[in-house]
This record gives sequence, structure tokens and C-alpha cells, in this order.
Amino acid sequence: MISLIDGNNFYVSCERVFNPKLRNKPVVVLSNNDGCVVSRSDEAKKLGIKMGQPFFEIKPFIKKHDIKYFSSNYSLYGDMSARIIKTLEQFSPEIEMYSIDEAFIDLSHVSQEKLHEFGWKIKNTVYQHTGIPCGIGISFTKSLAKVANKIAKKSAKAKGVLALYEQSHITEALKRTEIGDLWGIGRKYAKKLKENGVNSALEYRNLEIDWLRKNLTINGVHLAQELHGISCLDLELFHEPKKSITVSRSFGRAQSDFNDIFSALANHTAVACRKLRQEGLEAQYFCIYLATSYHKENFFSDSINIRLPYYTSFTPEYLKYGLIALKKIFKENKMYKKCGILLFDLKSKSTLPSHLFDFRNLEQENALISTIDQINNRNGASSINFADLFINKNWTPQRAHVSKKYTTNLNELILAR
Amino acid sequence: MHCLPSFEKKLYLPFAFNSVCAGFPSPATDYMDKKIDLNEFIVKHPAATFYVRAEGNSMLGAGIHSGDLLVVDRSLKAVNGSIIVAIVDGEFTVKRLCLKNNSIVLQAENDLYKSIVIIDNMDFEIWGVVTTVIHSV
Repeated sequence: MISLIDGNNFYVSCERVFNPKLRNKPVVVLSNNDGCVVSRSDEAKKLGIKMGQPFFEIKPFIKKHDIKYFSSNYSLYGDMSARIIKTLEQFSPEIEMYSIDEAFIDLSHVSQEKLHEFGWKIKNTVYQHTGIPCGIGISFTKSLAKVANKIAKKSAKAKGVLALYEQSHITEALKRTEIGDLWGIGRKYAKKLKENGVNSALEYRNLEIDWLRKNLTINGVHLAQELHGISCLDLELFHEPKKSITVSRSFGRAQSDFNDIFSALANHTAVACRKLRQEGLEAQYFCIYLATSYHKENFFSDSINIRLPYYTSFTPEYLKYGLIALKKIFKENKMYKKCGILLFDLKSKSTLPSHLFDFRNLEQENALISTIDQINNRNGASSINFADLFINKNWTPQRAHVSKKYTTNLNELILAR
Repeated sequence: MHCLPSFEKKLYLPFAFNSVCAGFPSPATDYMDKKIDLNEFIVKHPAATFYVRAEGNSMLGAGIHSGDLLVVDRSLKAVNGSIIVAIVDGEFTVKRLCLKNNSIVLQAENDLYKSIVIIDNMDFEIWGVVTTVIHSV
């Protein structure tokens, strides 16, 4: 059996642990750059605030409904996430951290009649140790655990914990699950399935395998098998090597100056290359892109792909070609809101052959970059950097309403009288 | 500063220290013990341990001064006599928990401060149990 455990309204719940005044109030957490809503308390949901809704749209109602709002505080959320995972370790030897607020754990060591009780033990322990309320779904496969988790949170009877192992219960649960809420069914496929009269997860499970293979590829077949209780998606206990790395951010304010934008891009590039080196990878292809505000008229975006002469993770190489590439796509008199870099076709450094016409001094490059990484690891990111990154910092994201680093900074702890 | 609480990084204090000398090696080197890790001693449940700053002197009698660092373990069950961090009407407070005849009193340990009697309509929650006070002298 597999259990899916996820934090309820995770970012909001993290804020509430350290700020009791937020309890029973509508609370939202905003995305990077305070652009839109990424986490909502139940009270905020009841007011009709939508996931992803732009912040400016709810601003007029803040006073009237006493809505509390926060910038994303990833130091806090990341730390709380690690605490939850650590707490789960006492319940199972096999844990897959699926996202910052979701984890799958293996429960094959728990007998069926004890599953419900065990689920409650997990829920209560996570709450006591971390203060985060969570939802727990348990069933034969990952996809069914996800179905159980969703119903556990919605149902007044389940109150957050649901173990699905009796066939009649599974059938009932699938009947109640809308097709668009099924794990892995995106908006496009949901539309297509509805057009074919498939509205619930149960109707999906009844589809012919051949039809699924033809219309939804092998992944669609796997999902149907998972809903039958046949496990196709194992716990991914080890990280697969990354296939691509993206770093992009919206600017604090819209930018039109070339140097400002290049400074932002250079920073993203440095972050991306550092990730590349941490994973022991190198890339030969990368893409940079630029966009104006999606919410304004005359939306404009452009991107360009660059092929380097060789696979590398050396930051200056990317900066050199990134500058040339940016000059090609940059247009005057545009108010840019976002830029980013994508590294793709990543290869493990150890498997790459050496290049015949390689005139680089690799020893020197390695010595330089590993020294920079060491200094930054020890003294905090960006303690030392390439000059391109210091031209201008006008672009840094707005995080005007960020709460304190309650768990990671001694100067920002909660106070008790 | 991203240092607390640490799951991996440990703060080592040297237990037996001998300076490096160029000549004859110290015979004590073979007897070097592992270094003392204060985290091991103070933090029993890292995932459930939080740090809280004491403000005011209401718990002076328990050795807690204003500005002291409190080590709070949320995994422990508060019992009669535990020093706890609690939420009372939306505010954090640190007090001694006194359970008597179905009544809950959060007792201050300083005559200048009042204890808090928890009554029915109060918003009250035990947030964690204080295990250690770190006080600079």
C-alpha cells in the first residue's frame, strides 16, 4: 500500500504556525514578485479567491474582508517541508518527496485493517511535530492514493484521512472523482475525454485499453491500470538526473534598459550553471527568452537557442554567448517583465568524450569555478561573482510582504512573553 | 545566517586539543575521542525542535531572562509542571503549565507578573515544550 501525504494550503499553513493571528482569517501567499496567488486558506477560498489569480484583482477587497497577504518565504517553506519529511521517516523506510508539500510513503508493512488508524497516527504526529495540518490518502497505487487524498480533504466524514482498499469503496471514490482531477490528466486531455463522454475517473477506468493507447499514449494505459490497483508508477526513491534546468524570474518593475536586463539574465545564468555543476552535468545547448507583461496589451516575447562549441558548465562561457544572443532578440522601447535561461540536453560530465579541437584550459577553468563555488557555499550565494552580474540590480523581484525566517535565522525568531 | 536547526551540519567543539608540532608526534593523538556535538545534547528531535526568543522577565524564577534563547521541542507531551510555549488569544507566551482539578493555569515565575487562568472562551493552544534555556553570561 502507498500513502500520499500533503500539507493543506501548505504555504499559508507554514505562515500560521508562527503567526497565530492568521488563524480563522482569509490568508493568501503570493508568487515570486508578488504577482499572483499561489496558496489560499480555506477562508480565502470561500471568498472566491482563485488559485493563480493576479494580486491586483483582489487588492480592492483586502480591507473589506481583512485579507492577510504574504510574499513567498521559501526559506521557511523549504525548512518546514524538510521537517515533515524527517517526521515521516519514523513511519516508513521508503519515502519519495514528490514536491515541496507532497510525499509518497510505502506502507506495505501495515496490515489492511490497521491502515486507517495508521493514517491518523501519521496525521496527528505531523501536526504535533511541525504544526502543519495534512491530508492523507492510502491505497494500492500512487494514482489511487492521490484519489483517496483528494476525497479525504473534501469529505466531512473522512476529516483528512482515507484508506481505500475495499473494491466497493474504490469504485465509489472513482465515481466521485471528476476526470480533470485525475492525476496526470491535463486540461487538454480532460476536454478530449469529456467530448468522448468520459466525465469521471470510473468511466475512465472502464475505457478499452486499445482506445487509451491510441488516444492517450502508454501513459494513459498506465493510469487506467493504476486505477485497477495494478502499480505502474513505483516510488521514485532516487532522483533521476535532470534533463533540463530553467531559471527565470519576473522583474520587480518592468525594465526597458539593455544593461539592466542583461544583469538579470547574467544572474539567472550564474544560478543555472551552479545547479548544473552541483548535479555533475554539462550542457551544450541553451535558450534565453524575454517577455513583456502577459496581463498588458501588446504582449511580446522572443527566445533564441544557442549551441556552444562544446559541453560545458563554465559560467563565463554562457555569459559570453548569452550577451551576443540577448543583443539579437532585444528590442528598444519595450517594457520587459521577465527573462530566463533554459539549459537542455544535459549530459553527465564523466561520460563526455574530450574534444579534438578543444583549446580551453580546462584545468584553469575548473580551478577558478570550484573556488568560486566553495566561497559561495561557505559565505552565502553571490558572495563572489562575475562582473556582469553587478551592473544593475533594478530588476530584483519584489517581495514586499515577506514574513520572517522564523526557523533559519537566529535574529528572526518568534518572541514569547 | 542559515544555521538553525541543522539536520546535517554539526558544530564541533574540540574535546582533546593538541597543537601541531613538527617534532615528535603527541602520544595522545591515538587517544583522540570524537568531538562534542552540542546539538546532540540539546536537540533530541531535530525535525520538531524550534528556537524561540524569550521577551520579558515573567519566568525569571525558572532561569529564563529576557532575550534568552529557548529550545522548544514540539514532539514532547506537556505535563503538569512543564515549561511551555503556548498561544493565548493570538499571542505567544512562555509559562509553567499547572493542571489542577480540571483547571489550566499558566503560571509566571516572577511576583511582578500575573499568571494566566485559562477559561472556556479563550483561544488556547500548547505550541511546544521548552527543554533548554540558552543564556549568555
